[in-house]
Amino acid sequence: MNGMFDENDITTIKSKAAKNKEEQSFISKYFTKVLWSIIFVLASLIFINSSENNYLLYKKEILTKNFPYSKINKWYKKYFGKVIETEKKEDVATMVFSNNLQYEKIEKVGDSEKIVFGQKTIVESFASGIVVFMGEKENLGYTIIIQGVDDVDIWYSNIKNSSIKLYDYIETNAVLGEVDDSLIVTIVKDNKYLGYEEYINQTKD
Amino acid sequence: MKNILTKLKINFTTYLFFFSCFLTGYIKQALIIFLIVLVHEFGHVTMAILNSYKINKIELLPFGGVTTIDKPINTPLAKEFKIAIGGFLFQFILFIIFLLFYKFNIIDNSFWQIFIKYNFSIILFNMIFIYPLDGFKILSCFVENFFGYYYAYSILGIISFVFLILFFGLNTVFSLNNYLILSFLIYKIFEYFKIKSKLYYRFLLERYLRNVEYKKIQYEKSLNLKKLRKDYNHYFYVTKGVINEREVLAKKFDISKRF
Repeated sequence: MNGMFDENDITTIKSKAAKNKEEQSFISKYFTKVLWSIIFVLASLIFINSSENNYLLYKKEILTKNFPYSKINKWYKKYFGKVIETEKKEDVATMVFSNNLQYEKIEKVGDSEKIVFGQKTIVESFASGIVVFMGEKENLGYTIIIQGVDDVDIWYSNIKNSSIKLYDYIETNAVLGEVDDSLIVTIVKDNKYLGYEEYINQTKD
Repeated sequence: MKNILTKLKINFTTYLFFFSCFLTGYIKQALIIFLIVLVHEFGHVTMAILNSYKINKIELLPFGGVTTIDKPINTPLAKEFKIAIGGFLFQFILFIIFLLFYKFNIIDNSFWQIFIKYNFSIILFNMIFIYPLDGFKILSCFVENFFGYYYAYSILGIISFVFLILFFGLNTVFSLNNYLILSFLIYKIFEYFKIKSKLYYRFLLERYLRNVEYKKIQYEKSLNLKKLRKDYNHYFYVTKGVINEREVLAKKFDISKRF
């Protein structure tokens, strides 16, 4: 028969508090947690709207910047090892820039650079990182932004037939998609814009 | 079955694991792993309910989980096996479902690759012969059929310990999650040996109080309660003749010697 040894059995003594917790209904267990969540959201809203400075801070830090997934990823891998133990390891120190892009010329377009291939080319990623943005950017068209492990954001614009998804972890030289004629690339490091050649030579050192 | 949700408990190592996954950008992987683990545990839950048992607690761990069921120690080994295999069964069903999704282009290749990788690594991990994983439970169904409960417990404990040492030694992955899982397994095996005598006493008392008709009969040459196996009714050869296990248990537990 089931339940022969009941809750009062000497082998399963529980404190009164534990018993009371078990008898609570599903809703009441989460009541305090929901309340705390609501308080947190309200407090954040009050903080943001309390002064002009705070609002500007909110705009700058939260609305414009990306959450630094790649940075935290790299930091975590250094001190705690792999996040999920069956992941392949990508070491920043051994990251080799092996992309030998054959292009016709490079034109400067504002802060970005337009790499003209002259024909349909398959574009591979220059460095490994996490995809943080996929969408339309003004003057650039459809853009994929990859937040690299070496703190460099690379924007790849003008790409078609891309099969990667948001928040994918992309390895170096992974296929991003194809371009008809030219690729527009914007390389951002610490709010400074680098050129393509500059970037390659930098990582080779 | 809204009661099932109240029994769900998430271990703090699981919270740590998923929190670290979200912060480091492995969001898709974390959600897929969570789905697989949930399906695995509900496999056990469903098989237990189909065999008319009640669930005490469903604890979710990073790469599996532990479901504690309100069943006596002397449950038929066939039922134990069915419940233990439930996890693998449901993961297999999930695999078929996602295979169909992939063939009909409902999910894309990258999702499928991630799913395959984690589904199979969780299945393989749970098949290792370490307490309290599924593989250990399935092995115990076979070992307990051939050895007395007391001896089977020790044998299984040693096998579990050996495999834990192997797992510990061969596992060279530098990962916090890995260390958490290892420490959990080490803690569990200490607990396993600690409660041995308590469980053995309970096993005997259950046998005495429940009076279940076991279909199979086993004859033992010497009077030794440690040789009592699950699923068998035992007769011991003594000087007078043959004595049933119930008489021996009655002498042990009942002062008035009535049964």
